[in-house]
Amino acid sequence: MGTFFKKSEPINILLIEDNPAHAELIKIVLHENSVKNAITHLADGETAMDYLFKRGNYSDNKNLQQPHLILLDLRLPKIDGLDLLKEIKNSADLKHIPVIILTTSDEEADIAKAYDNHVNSYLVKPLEFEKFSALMTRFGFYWLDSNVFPSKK
Amino acid sequence: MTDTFAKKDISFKNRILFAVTIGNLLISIIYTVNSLNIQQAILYSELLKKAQITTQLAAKIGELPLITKNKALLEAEISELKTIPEISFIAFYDSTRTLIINKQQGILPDRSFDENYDKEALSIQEHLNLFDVLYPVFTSKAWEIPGVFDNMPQDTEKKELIGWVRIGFSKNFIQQAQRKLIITTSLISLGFSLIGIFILWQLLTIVTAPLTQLFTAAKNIKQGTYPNSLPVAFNDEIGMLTEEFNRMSDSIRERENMLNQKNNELKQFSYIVSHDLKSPLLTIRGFIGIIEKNIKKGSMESLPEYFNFIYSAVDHMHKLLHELIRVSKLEYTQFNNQIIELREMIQEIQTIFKLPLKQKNISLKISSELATVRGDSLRLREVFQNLIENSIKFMGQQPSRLIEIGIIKQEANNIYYVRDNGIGINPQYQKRIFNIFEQLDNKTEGAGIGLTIVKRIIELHKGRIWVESEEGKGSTFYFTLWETTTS
Repeated sequence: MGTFFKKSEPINILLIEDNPAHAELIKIVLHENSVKNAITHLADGETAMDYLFKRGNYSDNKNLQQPHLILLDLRLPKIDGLDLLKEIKNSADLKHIPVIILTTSDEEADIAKAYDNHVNSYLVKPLEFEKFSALMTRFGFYWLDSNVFPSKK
Repeated sequence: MTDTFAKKDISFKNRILFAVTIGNLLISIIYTVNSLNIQQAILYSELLKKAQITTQLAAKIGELPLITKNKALLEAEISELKTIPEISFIAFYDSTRTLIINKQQGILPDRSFDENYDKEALSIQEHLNLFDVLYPVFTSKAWEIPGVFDNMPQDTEKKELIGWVRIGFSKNFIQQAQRKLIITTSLISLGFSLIGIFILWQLLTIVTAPLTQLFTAAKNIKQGTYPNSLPVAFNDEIGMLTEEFNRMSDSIRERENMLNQKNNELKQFSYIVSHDLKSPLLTIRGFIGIIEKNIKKGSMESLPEYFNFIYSAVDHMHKLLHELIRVSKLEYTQFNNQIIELREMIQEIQTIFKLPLKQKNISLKISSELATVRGDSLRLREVFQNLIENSIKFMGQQPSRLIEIGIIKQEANNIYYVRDNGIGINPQYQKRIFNIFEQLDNKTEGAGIGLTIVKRIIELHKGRIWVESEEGKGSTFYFTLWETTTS
């Protein structure tokens, strides 16, 4: 299997996922393919909001870099994934960051709402590990290798 | 109105209008015919009177020319009579019944002289267009030469028949007058009919407006849009019907809202459950796959960590299923409606939590105002147990820790409450806390089902539950039982 680290600058991924096992799985599968990409994992919507908007515990951390890409679960404690997506896409500073929903939900309503709120991609977690692994590999090729990100402001 | 309308399409209003218009028309016709008859009788008798007078006058005028047999004089005399418009001809006969003068072109209608020729009486024959009046002309002749015997008695006077006058009186005037009358009566009845229809239309509109309104509203309800309360103008039958309709509409709307709410809850429930049950499956399959790979590669160091993920996923799933069974039991086991001593029940629950209360140094205050309530004791016990457990769980670290259970007595619905001075709930999460498997903090134990069960039990007791909370100051859960709606 190929790797994605053709680019000189590593791509920072913000992973927002409340299930620690799923977060670990995603990290393992992504790391299998690419060591260069940094993954920051946050477990709930509120912490993610603080991180992105540099509030609360993250208010002092001025050097905090905005992620290139956000991997977002839908059902999160405290602030729901869709609400978080709304906030990101309504923010002038954050709306350029591609947000990819990665969830077990294949509900039509969820998919519709996500796209209504300008999600960049919607991925459903397959239950079989092989399919999940294949999906994450394709995700890596496309988003981390092929995709061109805007230069940071 | 067209005569090809389908029966069903005739509205009440149009039916009434149709019937009234027909009635109106009939009355107009009867009235016109009746007026015509009366007028005809009057005009006839007037014409006859005129005919009588005119004929007698003509006889007088014609007396002298007839005696003198002066045709020119006769013509001159009667030319004046000819100016009377009703007269269509004037004819004179001499005593031998020979026609002397005929003031008309053409031939006179046939006339027999059999009767009355020697009596001083009018003979009237009626024709289609005229009355033919015949009158004998007499002259008075004194028996002796006048002036000789001045004291001669009158009855010695002798009348001598000297001819006949015959005059035709045209009925044209009557016919014209009748035509006029028909036109006037028709116009008047048409006018009255129109005014009548207009007034009737207005009246019917007043009567049928509420009905039309009801009809439109009912149609709207059928299509799923609920009208606002319809206005009730009078407290009559229609007003009562409208009020009843309003009540019906409200209760349908209420029921539909309730069903929609239930439906949404159910949808959300199945959505959440399926999502939450899928998650551990991915964890299990995922880590089995990773473990397999690692074993093939011969790297063993992370295996215990990966196995732990699998174990906890299995445990989590077990817990979820257990809670689901609890929820379904709650729905399907028999509801025992009994009288419960609330204070006693809560004191019993207190003994269950004796240890954690003591460990966390929390005092529990039970209001003495709590008395009896009707309900299912096992289920209500679950409510208090869950709420107290939550309060203990989210008590935080402040020095004086207190849980209060009490009642706010009200006229309509008593409000029960469980209050703590713990960490409280952020306002933006307050609406989500009653959702199934909802956990604000994924580090706390439990499956996030306690408040779902509490809410369901309160609903089974026809009550409502809500929370008031401020972060850092604590939360109060309020609920009602057997709520009576005042509407």
